[in-house]
Amino acid sequence: MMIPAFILLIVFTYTPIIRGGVMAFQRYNMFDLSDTGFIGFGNFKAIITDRNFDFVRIVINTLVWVFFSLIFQFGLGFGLALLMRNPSRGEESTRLSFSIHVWQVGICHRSHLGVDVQRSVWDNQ
Amino acid sequence: MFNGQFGIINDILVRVGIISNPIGFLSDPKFAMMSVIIANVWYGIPYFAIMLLAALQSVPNELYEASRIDGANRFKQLFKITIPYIRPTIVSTVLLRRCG
Repeated sequence: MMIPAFILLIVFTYTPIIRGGVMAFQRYNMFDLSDTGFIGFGNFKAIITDRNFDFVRIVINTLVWVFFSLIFQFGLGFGLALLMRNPSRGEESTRLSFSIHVWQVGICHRSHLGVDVQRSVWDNQ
Repeated sequence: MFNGQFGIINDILVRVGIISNPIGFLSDPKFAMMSVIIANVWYGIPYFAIMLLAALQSVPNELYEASRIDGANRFKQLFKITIPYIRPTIVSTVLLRRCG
């Protein structure tokens, strides 16, 4: 009964994760896509020791991004939930705008069919 | 997403007259981090709001009345009653949002 859901989950979520994990340890040359062999941790070593990319800066940027976005998401989402909890004056308008916001985010997420929001932002620029 | 290139913000700012040239929000190193964070925050607010709203319903109301009788103001109620009760939900939701 839940087999279709399992199949969808495995095909669209688990298989890409495993495939990406395997791909991280392979040698991929964009000019010759058939020449893929296992090179162990060579890709990781290449990122860390590459002179053109400041690896420490990359890690710091990622941490700053994750931390601040989580803080604001949690804070504003929590504030919204607290407002929603006690029905007060303006209840109908706040609930309406809240559901419109949820609906809008849902549509924008699904309309890209798995492409992340950040990637869609980067694609357009 | 209607802010796909942040063109609408640039349009509004230029028309109102605050800036004279459009700012490249995603290419300028000063603005890029902020705009990506804003996009991520906008995306995650309803997720957090719905999960936390559902968790907030499970807090028993008698605690709030008892604390109000004991003289607790809203902040103390928030930090001492609400947050400990929904702490597991907060932790799992933060983990889920952090990892994807």
